Amino acid sequence: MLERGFGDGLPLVPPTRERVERMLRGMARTSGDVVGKIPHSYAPAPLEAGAAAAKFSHPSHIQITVAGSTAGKRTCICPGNVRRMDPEHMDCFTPVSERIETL
Amino acid sequence: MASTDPDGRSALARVIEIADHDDVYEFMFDQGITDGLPVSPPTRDRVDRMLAAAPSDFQHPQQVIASLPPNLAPLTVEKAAINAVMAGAKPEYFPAILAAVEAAAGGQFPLHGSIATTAGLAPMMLVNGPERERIGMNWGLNALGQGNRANSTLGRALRLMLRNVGGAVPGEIEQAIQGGGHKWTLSYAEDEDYSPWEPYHVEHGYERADSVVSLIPITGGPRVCIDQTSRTARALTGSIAMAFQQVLKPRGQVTPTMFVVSPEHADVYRADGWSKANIREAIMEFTALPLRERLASPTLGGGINEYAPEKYGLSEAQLDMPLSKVADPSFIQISVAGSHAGKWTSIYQGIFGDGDPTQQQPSTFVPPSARIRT
Repeated sequence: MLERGFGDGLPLVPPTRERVERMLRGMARTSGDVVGKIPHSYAPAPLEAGAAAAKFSHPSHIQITVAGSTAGKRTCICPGNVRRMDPEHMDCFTPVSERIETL
Repeated sequence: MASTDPDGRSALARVIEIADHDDVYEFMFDQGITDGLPVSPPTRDRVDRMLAAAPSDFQHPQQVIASLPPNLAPLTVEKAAINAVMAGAKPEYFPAILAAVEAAAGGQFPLHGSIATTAGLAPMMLVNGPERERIGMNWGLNALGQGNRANSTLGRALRLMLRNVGGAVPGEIEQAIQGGGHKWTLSYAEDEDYSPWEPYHVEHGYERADSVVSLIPITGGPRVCIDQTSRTARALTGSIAMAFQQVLKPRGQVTPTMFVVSPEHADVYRADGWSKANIREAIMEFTALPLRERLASPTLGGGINEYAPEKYGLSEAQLDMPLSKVADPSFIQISVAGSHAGKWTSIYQGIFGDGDPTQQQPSTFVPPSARIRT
């Protein structure tokens, strides 16, 4: 994983199918839901990717990770004024509070 | 595995069996042997590969290389290898990791004091010499940040040894008030080729061909001085000195501190022909305040104890004595790293250095260091 350039230079927990499924268990969201678009490439971040990234840290942190990616998306895409957002990214905008409630 | 092979070189560490249905990463978290981030499982194969990379002076796995505080527990080559694996280090980093242990535990570095304090001190690790290139360290873009495996894991290996062997567990003996990212890992290499000065280790008496790990005990950083406009060495140093004056508390003094100068700030010094001694002298000058202005103040906060003038019977002349941010110019340590796209200097500060002002006998700071053996 490190040789493929994943991660920050420290060991990662391999995001096996089993671990990722454990991370997603108990959530209202379903696998494949787009949680946000992540800069710099604004690639859609499906819930599984969030779970996989969380898997690199700790499984009990899934909610923080999903909320974190939502907050990060909002901060980067909508810096204070929804009307000035790039229309391409409008579909991503949902208040963070609503998103956290759905977790 | 509590056995050793006939040549006595096998590891002796107890092997922990993990049931098939247990997740090995969760198991290691549950055992309390990590710093909160995942560790690489120290399997027999991985530990043997690490041991095979030990320099010739450390060939026996049971050789004790240090006594690690706070428990003063013996650190064997084998235990060092196990923790190096867990930190995520490659075997080729092992000689540098062992040098870091030697520098940390050799008596020059305040290792016990840095753990058994609320201050959250930790060793900042600088690597110089050919080894930094051999193991692929980063001294360029984001050199003090994440991403490079050698930079990330060298410092972490030492911290894991202090935790798992020495017993430096936060909330137990380790009582850092707030801590900081520097307590996970903080290691980098110097941009020796671009530096306007001789490499850091050469400045401190080593040969250029030596590879050396140097350690500075710091409480945190970076306090970044971003000055994109100063075009003279004097103006730039004034800027850096004012940023430095604010660390810990503006009226207080501080112990040895590392200034990591980016290549574009180094250009300013190169253009004006400034040596490190020139920078030190200027920082001493720019941060100098009369002693009375370093006393604790009802409006400007902490400094030297406000009862000091009475307690020590300080005269008016003594109260006018200039005191710089540091007691001695050698406390100002300077190295070069970073990308070529910005005028940055990062300050990694020590701990408060205010003492009895009448007894200020500046001692010269020599960074604890050790040569990387091969």
